[in-house]
Amino acid sequence: MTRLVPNRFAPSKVLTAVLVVAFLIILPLCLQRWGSEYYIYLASKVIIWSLFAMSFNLVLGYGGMMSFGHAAFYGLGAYSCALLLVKAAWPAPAAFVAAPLIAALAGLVIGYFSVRIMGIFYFAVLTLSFSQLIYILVFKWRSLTLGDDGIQGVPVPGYISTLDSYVHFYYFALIIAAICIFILWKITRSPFGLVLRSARENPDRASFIGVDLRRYRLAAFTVSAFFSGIAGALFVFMETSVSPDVLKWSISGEVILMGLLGGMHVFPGPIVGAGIMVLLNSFLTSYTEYWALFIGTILILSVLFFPQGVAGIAYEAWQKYFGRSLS
Amino acid sequence: MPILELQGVTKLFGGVAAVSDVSLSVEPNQIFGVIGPNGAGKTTLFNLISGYYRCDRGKILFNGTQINGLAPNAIVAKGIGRSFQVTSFFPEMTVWENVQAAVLVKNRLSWSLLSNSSTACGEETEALLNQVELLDKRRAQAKTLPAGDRKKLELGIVLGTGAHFLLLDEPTCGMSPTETSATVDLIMRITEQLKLTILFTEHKIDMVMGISSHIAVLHFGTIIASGSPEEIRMNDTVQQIYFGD
Repeated sequence: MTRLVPNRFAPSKVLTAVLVVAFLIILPLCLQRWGSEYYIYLASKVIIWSLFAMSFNLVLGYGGMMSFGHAAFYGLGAYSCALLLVKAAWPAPAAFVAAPLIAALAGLVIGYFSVRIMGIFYFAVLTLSFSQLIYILVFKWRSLTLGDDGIQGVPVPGYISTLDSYVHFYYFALIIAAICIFILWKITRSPFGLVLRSARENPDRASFIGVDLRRYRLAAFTVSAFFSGIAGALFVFMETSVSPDVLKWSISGEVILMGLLGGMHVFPGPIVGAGIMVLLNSFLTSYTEYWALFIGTILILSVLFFPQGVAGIAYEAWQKYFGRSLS
Repeated sequence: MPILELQGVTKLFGGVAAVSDVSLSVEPNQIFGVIGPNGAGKTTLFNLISGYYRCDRGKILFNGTQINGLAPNAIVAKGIGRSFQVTSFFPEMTVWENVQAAVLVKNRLSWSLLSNSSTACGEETEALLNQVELLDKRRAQAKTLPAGDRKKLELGIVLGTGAHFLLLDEPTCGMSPTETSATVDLIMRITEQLKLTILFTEHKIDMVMGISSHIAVLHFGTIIASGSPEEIRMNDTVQQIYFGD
């Protein structure tokens, strides 16, 4: 398996990074000229899902915890943001900061109970149960959340308004996601990240070098919930509405699939997975209502034959071609 | 004062005593061997001392303070390190990272979320890798190491925790005679240098007799003899059970 922790940037990597950044900056302008607003919307959606999938991967790929309830944090981020703006009339920046904090708090509580459980299966079931609990709560608490009607017409500040164009929002989401993903990258390279990986690889050995497994797992889980909450808040700014769908178990499922499809042991893997899933979803739904069948087939094949994910394969090919280990 | 003292330690599995009323004391800088046939309870004893299992009865004192009931990571923090019969390390990480992880935890730097890990505790990690003769392989992924090097790596990890008391569970398990003597030499050298205390188990009787300053014989979970290698060799019961009659 592969890791992405190079000791220093090779020149070719700097070039790659510059090209990627340039591409991301020019993209909406090109789409505006030659495509349509819808594509900028899609690109923004990819950014939001990338951030969500990257946050999630801190738990799955680095922490080795199969959370099946991450929709809870994404959804709580979205609902907190929407409710603070609509019901409490908070200024947008304040709501945007508070939303991930609320998601993180939920992560701390759910994580506290979940990390005590050993075994992938039980961990998945427990996190799923918690997220379903929050889903039901939001669904039923009509006086606060308007239930399945959802919250419409969330006031969004003019500078990122999507009323006329998605371009401004795109750049806003890009900057926020870039900052968050950079922080996540720093975490994976930090001493904490190293110890977290050690706990994933060999929990027994880790506890016999003095690691308190629960505390590290809980910390990773909470940090992950925080960034998932930011993704949820971004979602609200983009859609200006939110419904209990953001808390559905299928959202948790999708983010897992993005990790698997993209490659959970290569840092940018989930971004690749998010891109593929969002685009496939959008294009296939315009051709067939059985799009889920296609995505399912692709996933089964990829998990069977390329368990390292798309980015994992690309990374291996890179290593082979350039003959250089990054570790 | 003994560095480690067991008082009437008992561990039951479904009513059957795997370790029964074991008392022993290990003095500082001793190399204390525990021998006994398969299933005698040696590994269970190590699991009890290191906190993997809890004692059903009895007390375990380390430097005079009770440690039974503490979690494994808390026991590591007291200065007890252990190796496993089946070498235990972090297979996907590099040799360097394997040892570094232990050093980071020991130095309480592992809660740093945003600093760069690649250089953290570099000198200490390097010194340890040098000590276990793996410095030139530091970039290798741990799982690519041959069996002998894996044992050295595990030793490096254990030393990285800052332990001065090592529990070594069959440190030369599965090794050829040449590898065995090389590993024993390494352990002895490091023990000398770092003034360690060692409690170990082994099947290879000659080796145990050769390096131990004190030996306890475990049989069906109880200690049937304890003393210097000569005393153990002369002991009638041990002769009967161990060396055949």
